[in-house]
Amino acid sequence: MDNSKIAHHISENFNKELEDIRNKVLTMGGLVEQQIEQAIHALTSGDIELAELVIRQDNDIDEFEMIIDAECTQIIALRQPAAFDLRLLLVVLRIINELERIGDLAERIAKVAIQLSTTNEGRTDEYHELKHMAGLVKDMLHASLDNFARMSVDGITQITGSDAAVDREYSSIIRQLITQMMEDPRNITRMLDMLWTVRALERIGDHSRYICEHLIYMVKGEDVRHLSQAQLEQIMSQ
Amino acid sequence: MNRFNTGHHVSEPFDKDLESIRQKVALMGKLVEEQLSLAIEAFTNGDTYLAEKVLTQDDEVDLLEASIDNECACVIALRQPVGHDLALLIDVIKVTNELENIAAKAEGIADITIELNKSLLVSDSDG
Repeated sequence: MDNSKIAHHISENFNKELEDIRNKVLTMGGLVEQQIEQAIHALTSGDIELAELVIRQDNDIDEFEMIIDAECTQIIALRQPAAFDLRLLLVVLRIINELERIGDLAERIAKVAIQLSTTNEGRTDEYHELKHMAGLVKDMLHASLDNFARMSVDGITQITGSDAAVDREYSSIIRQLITQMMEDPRNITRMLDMLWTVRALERIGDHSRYICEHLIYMVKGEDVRHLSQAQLEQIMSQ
Repeated sequence: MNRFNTGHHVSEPFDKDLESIRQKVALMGKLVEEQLSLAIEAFTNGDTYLAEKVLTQDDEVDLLEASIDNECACVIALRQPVGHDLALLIDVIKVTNELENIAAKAEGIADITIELNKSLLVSDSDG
């Protein structure tokens, strides 16, 4: 791993502390990715036990957030960092917040999975598009965490750009759900549950995009939140 | 009680920094409250015009968030606070994030209002 951005301090301990924080964030990120994967799997296969596991594991994510949070605050207090180091620590605080929210969304999907499992028989075919959308947001999250690991923003606009694809997928699935509701009103409860899931996936895409925006702040020192994709691309090309 | 404990620091500029941040957070909170009320009013009355106002005003909330966050980061870098002061500044960044999220929800309600009105117009002309 490229350590040039964090391993240049005179204090060996400071290097180690930053390295440790980075590793913890990546572990937390890995856990969150796994939660999404398992929640979607639980939903599409009607696996209640797996869904319950996801709900239990959310506590681990919350705990990670609190530990990293406390460590960051402590390092800021003790080392009084400036410039990149300070931005790194402030950004870590934001990233773990995004991760925690994604974790909550995965938990919500797991709860829907339990709800749906009772009416699930022989319906697994309709999850094809849901799985595809889940794949898209998982890739977004993975790519943004990968950039965090490398402390780089190369090609980051590609990740934020795929948020548009997620949104398109979202609208398309919503339209289908509405059609199915109109075809057979007995579907409505199930379709509403599905709607929650699709909505959760769309939000996960948003949070992954936010992580990218935080990374740009970390590396370039520029606050790029709330900008359009075109504006973002323009700033990154400068 | 004023958490920002203004007036107890040896450095007077530091007190001023904290007071400026406190005022901005209060202003942002007020703005977000207003956004939420307006959005709900727009939704319940089907008022597209009001909903559009909520969308425009959301930029102000975003700008305030960015400006408060930036001020907090600068104060941390320049004044190197510890203990209570540092915790406070980090909490402010968290609070602005929550406020921004609430404002985004208000924006979402305004979006829905506009969409709903559009689809009502379409179905009216159908019938």
